[in-house]
Amino acid sequence: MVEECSEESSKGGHRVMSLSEISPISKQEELGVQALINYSIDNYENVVFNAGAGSGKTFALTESLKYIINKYGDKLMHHNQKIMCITYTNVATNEIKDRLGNSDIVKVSTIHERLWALIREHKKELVKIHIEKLHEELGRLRFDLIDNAEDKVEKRFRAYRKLSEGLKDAFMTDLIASKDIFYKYYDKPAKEFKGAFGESLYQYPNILNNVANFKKTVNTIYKIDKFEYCLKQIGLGSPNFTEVRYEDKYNTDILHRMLISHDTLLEYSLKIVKTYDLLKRLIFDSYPYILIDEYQDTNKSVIHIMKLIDEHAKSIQRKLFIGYFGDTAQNIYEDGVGSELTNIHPGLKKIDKQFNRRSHSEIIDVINKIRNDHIKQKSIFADCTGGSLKFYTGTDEFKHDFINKYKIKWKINSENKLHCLVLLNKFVAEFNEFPAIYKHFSDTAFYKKNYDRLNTELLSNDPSKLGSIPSLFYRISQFIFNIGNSETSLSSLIDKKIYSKMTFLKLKELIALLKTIKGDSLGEYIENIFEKYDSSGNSHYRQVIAELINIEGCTYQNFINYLLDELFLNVGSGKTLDFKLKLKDLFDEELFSKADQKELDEFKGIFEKLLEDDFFSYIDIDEVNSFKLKLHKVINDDELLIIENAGREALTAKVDKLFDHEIYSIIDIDEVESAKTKLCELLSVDIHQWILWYEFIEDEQKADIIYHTYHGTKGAEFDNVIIIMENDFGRMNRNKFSSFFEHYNDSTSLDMEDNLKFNNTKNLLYVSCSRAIKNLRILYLDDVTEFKDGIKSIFGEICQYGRS
Amino acid sequence: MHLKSLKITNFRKFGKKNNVIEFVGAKGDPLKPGEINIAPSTTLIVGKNNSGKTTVIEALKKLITENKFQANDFNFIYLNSLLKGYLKGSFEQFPSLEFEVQVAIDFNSNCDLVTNIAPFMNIENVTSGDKERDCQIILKYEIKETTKFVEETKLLISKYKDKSILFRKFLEIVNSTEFKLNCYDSKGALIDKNKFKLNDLFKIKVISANKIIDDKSLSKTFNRIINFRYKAEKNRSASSTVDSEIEKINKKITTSVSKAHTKSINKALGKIESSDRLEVELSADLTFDTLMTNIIKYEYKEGELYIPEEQFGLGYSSLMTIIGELIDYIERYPQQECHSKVNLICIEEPEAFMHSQMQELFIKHINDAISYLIADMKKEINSQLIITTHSSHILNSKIHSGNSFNNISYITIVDNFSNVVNLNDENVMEDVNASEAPTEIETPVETPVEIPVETPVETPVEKKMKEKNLSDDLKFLKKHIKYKVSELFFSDAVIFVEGVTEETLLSYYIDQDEELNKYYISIFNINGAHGLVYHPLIKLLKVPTLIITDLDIKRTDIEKESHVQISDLNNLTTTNKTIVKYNPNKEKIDNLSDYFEDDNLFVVFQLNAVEGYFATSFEESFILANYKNDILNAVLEIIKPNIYKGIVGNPIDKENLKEKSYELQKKISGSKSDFSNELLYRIVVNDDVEAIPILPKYIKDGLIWLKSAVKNQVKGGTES
Repeated sequence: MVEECSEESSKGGHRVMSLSEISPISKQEELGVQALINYSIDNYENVVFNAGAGSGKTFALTESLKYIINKYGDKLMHHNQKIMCITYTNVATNEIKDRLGNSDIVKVSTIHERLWALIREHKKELVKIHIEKLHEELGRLRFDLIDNAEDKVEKRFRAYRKLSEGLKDAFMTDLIASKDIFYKYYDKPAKEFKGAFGESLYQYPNILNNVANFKKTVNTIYKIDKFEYCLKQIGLGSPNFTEVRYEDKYNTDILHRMLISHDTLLEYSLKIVKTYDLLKRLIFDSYPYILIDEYQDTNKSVIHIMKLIDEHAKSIQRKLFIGYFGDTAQNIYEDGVGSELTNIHPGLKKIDKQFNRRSHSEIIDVINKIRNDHIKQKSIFADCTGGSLKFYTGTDEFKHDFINKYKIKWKINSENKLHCLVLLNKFVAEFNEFPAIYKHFSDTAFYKKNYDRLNTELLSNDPSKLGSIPSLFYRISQFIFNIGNSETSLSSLIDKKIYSKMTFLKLKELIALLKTIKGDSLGEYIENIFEKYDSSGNSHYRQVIAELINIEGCTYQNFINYLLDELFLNVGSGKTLDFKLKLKDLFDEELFSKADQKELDEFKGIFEKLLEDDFFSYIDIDEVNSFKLKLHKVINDDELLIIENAGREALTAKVDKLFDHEIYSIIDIDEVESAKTKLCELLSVDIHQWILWYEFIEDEQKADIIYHTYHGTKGAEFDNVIIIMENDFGRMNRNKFSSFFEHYNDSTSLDMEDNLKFNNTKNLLYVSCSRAIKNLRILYLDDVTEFKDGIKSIFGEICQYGRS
Repeated sequence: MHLKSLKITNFRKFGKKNNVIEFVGAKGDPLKPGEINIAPSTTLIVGKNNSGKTTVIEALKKLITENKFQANDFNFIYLNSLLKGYLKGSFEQFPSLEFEVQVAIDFNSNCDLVTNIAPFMNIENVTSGDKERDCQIILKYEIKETTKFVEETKLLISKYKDKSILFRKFLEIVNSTEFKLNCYDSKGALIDKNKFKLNDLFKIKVISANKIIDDKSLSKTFNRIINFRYKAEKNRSASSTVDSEIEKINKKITTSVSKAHTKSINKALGKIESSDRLEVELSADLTFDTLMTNIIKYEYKEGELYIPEEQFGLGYSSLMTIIGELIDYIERYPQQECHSKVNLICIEEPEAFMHSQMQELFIKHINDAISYLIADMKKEINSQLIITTHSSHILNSKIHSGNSFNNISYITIVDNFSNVVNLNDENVMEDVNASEAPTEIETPVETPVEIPVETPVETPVEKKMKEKNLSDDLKFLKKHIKYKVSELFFSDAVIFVEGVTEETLLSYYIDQDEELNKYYISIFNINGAHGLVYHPLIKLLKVPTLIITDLDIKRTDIEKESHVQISDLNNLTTTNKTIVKYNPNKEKIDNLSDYFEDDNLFVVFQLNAVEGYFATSFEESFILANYKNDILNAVLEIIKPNIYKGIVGNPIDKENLKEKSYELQKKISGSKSDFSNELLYRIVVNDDVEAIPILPKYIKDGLIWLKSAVKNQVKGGTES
């Protein structure tokens, strides 16, 4: 039965002027809120300014900045003091700079940029912290290598641990001396690898029995060696070891080369601020006003730093204003401080703003219901009606049809774009036409283990938030994009320290050479980069490539080893986790659709316990067999009626098939082999997809319909929005949305962990829905019968799209 | 790598249009080895006083070295228009000075470094096929705190209602507002100060001739030259005789002086302070520098007499000083294989104190001196020379030493703004109107397959002929302009005439005109066909120009013989080249309805019949207009008594003059000079204003146009 909801005939386009008249009363009220902030600024009361989505938060922030400039600008200029304004992304930085016009007093930047500018000059102190960090890391590595009794770890280093103390030392020395062989054969099959070392390791019993463990052991030894070498060089004061480096474009810790990542920068900043009162003073004396945008997603370390500065300022009676601008309900990143702000930094004065400057009232009503707290927004405009919002259910096969319907209905074109928010990263990649990149990244051991990070680390619109490997690929894709674009400025392609001694002729030759790099896939392209690196003999070329790739030992071999390490081999449990998920999938598939809830719960308990306690280590065939036996036992347990219904034999067959396919078939194959195959697949992806991915990151898609992740739209606003939703948020987050709607009307019963999840989902839903200015549609791809009440409470009527 | 052009926006008298000054690179045309000619690689900026020449140098100097401007550096018309916008409540734009610098780069050079210009280059610059490519640097002098400026301006507007007070107060705000100089690339991206500073890329040295002269400047200059050569010498041979001599002298003096005086001085000192603590040691300290400045004396010999430096001609001192400064600059220029900087040497108005002959040879003098002095140095000087001047002689010197109009920037005032015209051999010859024709011809060359049948394709012979004509014209212009440069470049207005009578008489009439005699108006007597060669140049220079030409009605020999008077132009044609050029119907003159106006050119001729007849020349129309006038009659009688008598008859009937005007003008054509001189004499000695002959109507019309044109032009120059 087809049950279409009635909709007005035409609602698309910018037909009617609305959201244009601010009523005098609202204007007055808005000024009143600003006056509250201004009063706090005058009195150096730290504030937390909470305002919902589209409330003109950025407006309030810039008005506050202007207020400080106009009232205290002369004084600040006299003392050469500045106003610090921290934003979440570079996009937001530019937005505020635009609204503010030229200003020297206000320093707008992301937190990383500002922190680095503040601490970088304190070279000695940073090196001290770096030394501590190296010692910490060394301690951890040594503990793992020698003492850690954890099963997994013990197994890994068992052969090494069994060596006598003298042999241990000799082994270390020997292996450090044969680094060349190790890396040369690193990605070769086990037999060949063993052959390469041959008799030289004869004196160390059993050390090469398991190649994977051997590699892990040696890698750990190399790391220890590198860190020790680094500490030694720091002690000697060698050049290149006198200061810690941080570069925006590399999000990687290469600690032994003094290079730190974004997260480590935050860690060091907190440490250095904590330790040195003088630095705290320096910060508030240079920046007596600190304003932070989107505080809810700001890292907790940053808030700790602010609190430390604030406390110290108070203790020596110095005047300092800190203002947090944001919205707890829009906290969607786990490392963001969210509602904990006031716990970490107490004593903030709360100011709320209840206006909405973005959306039509139809949308405002719904988003108020989603957030369901003390902030109840109302439109600041008198003419605020005219928007539309509907909630549909439908099946996956109709989603394209659904989108197309609204493309026509809303008269979508390049002037009036349609923005689709898609839950699954996979869809975003598909819609934006780089599916293979997503597929192969999600297939790596590292991102299997860290599935939840894939969203940000591969699909963030802010390049500085990409993971270290995506960031490397991003740099290469950007390089390909730039070298093919005649408008690319040279200084963005070639670093100043490289070009500063070049003549025009040399530059011409270099660019010509860079332009000859070719390849249909990214892998071929990179291979070609290194071929030229070896053959051309152009020293400038070598410098550019070294700068671009930024890995140790600039060869193709090392590049591949690096990727293998980061994406596959150093991750240990990745493959295990993958198998667990596949097993879970198997037992989840409509198998128990008619089962009794109590029985189901009972079975799930047994099953989960089995997975947790008795799971096998991938490399030990005995363990695999014993696990398989246990599983068979459960399936054939007469008392579990639930399985009887599902069909014991069929299930056994399925399980066996999975084992054959996923484990037995590859258990003999070297771990390296399968990793190499997967890496090869990733590198074989057509270069065109990488360019599209690059354009997606840069937010430069040219289509009329633009697809985003839920997370990727932060701060943006669109006339027309379609949100595609379903129960799960990937397989790591089963029932994320269904469980939210289920508990929407009564969330008091949730335990702490579930409550956290509930709030996280709520925030994500809030952020997504509040992007819409005018038209919003939600298409839910799963059956909603179980939790329709929750949906109705928020969105009202539920419509059906397509067949039911 | 060299400075190719500078676009100045809103700075002083410069507005938003015609504000690009082009510069020539350091290396001009290839020369024979060993030869030095700075003329082709010198940029000359010419213009009247107060037109903006110095502003160009000032802009460069401020951008490169000072980075600071004042409120009165902003164009006031521009500020006023901003204020008007603010009064309407629109705060979109804020005061800013803009400078667009184009740097030309030779990508085949393995000698220039990319170091300082790289932030402005993109891939296209590097990979395009041309040998030389340009990079753009945009500098904006912008407000530091926009918020503050807006707040203050809003306050001001609410406080003052009177427009003139408001503007004055607004200027005060601009003056007290803090600005900074920001750098952008061609796409408008801000270039970080760490990445680029203009003074890393450019070095500038300004020599102002009238500021460097004093009594001792000549010897200072000589010292510099000797110092320079001395050091060069020293570099070549390790031991110098002068040095060892100086050492000897120092020793000698020290010995003798200290023997005689050290003791007594120390004794005297000992009375105040114990000699354990303090003692004086005397020694001579003669160096090459002190030797030159204090001990060597220059004596100048003129004939048999020695004359002191102070009495030497200022012009000579001035020239030598400029040369000295240049030498000094060359000496300081580091010896190196690669260049990372663009070096600019600006000489401001070097004509000061120089007599005209010296000005005429200025560039040659500098050439000779520099090539002689640095010939054996083998120093590669990568510098651009920029000279500003209002001397017609130096302009001449540039045109003739370089044998070209290239690289001359002419600055004038148009509509209250500085207006820059960059001259070159092409645009001084190429008429704006005629320029459409050659472009049409070029199109088929690009797509040889689709040659439209209608378009006449130039045959190679025709093309060669055309080129030959153009180059002949250019040669003519270059030679001819020598005597006319000052008229063209520096007068307020120009009148072209085609005969000695007009030239003689017009000077008088203009002198008598209360309005016109305030301006510097040049009268140019040049035959029409040759005069046409000047037209493109005049149009470029934008000087109001009145062209007085003749109708030159074409007559057959028989008609000429029978002295037919013409009262109807039907089916008639003209032989006058100027009319043919500007008349839409070319030779045909039956439908002439008005004079021709083309930008700053106004062409007048005998448009209307006088007393029923169309005159063919100035003389004829003058006779027609004044046939009753006694002075004219008297003059005619004196220079051609028989002819005059034959025409007026006996008794004298002056009406006959107008009936025989053509015959009369033909008869006097051989004695035009006598005719005009006699006329002028009689007019000058006459005291009765009423008795003076009047000018023919077409000339009066021309002068009326000229008055309004020159007024508009000059008004801008004097007011701002």
